[in-house]
Amino acid sequence: MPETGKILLYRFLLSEKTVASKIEEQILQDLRAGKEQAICELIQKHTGPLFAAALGLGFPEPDAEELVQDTFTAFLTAVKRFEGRSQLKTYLFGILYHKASETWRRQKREEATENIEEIFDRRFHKNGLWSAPPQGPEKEALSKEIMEWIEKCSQNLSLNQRSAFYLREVERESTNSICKILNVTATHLGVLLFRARNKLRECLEKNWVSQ
Amino acid sequence: MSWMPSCREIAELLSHDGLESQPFWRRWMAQIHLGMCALCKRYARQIRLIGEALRRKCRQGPPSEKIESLKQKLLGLFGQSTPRS
Ligand SMILES: [Zn+2]
Repeated sequence: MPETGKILLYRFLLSEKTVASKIEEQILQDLRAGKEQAICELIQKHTGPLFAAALGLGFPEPDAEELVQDTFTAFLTAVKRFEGRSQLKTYLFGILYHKASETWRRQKREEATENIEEIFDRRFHKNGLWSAPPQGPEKEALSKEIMEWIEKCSQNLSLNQRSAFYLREVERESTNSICKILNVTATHLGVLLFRARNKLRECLEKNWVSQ
Repeated sequence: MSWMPSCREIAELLSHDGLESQPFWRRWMAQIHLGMCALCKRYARQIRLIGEALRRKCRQGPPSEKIESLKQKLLGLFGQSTPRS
């Protein structure tokens, strides 16, 4: 690419980014000022994704609705302190996750204590080859049965495991955003995803073998 | 072949942050391994399947009328209580 073309491209990318953050900055100012229209826009834009996320984490509908409401309440109280260093959506998801953890604790949901690392360990020889190779569906196709197994199996996941898995697989969020939302390091996020995926895979295999 | 990742390393790579976050050469090595190893290929397929299942379950999202009624409720709660400026 000729130099001028490169410079133009950079300028374009730069201006795109600035435009996006300027719009967000304006919305934030309006929100801080308590402008009704900004609040309405906020609710119009983010209710759907937040509600879907709360349901995706496995909360029943009434709880999910309450979580979304609590998220907006907390956000509008805290908006004066929000410095805009992360995206609005990331920040809202962070609040939702925080509220979800409170609800989770209050409801004293059981979390499976199985040590997935140990189970994973036992599948390999010392030299790193499979000693207990994976069994299970060979085809890529998702049958109704497999969907039901996975749905049931996901009840074994802790809240932070299912949140990490949801944000990665459904929301397709970047590592950076997920770390901000869950308040974890990238290494810890890797561990959460590892546990979520392997717990689900082990459970899927168990169902498959015993069918 | 010490330069080639072991099955265990492949399984760890796939279930941690996925291959995308890996440097090019490591992704490449992993692809070669997956091309030769039926067991890891099966593992990879299952990991993909599990992600796909969650996406499919969530793809449709909540029914639009549910979202709409929640929006109306929230607009009533937060929209009108604030002073117009
Ligand atoms: Zn292998």
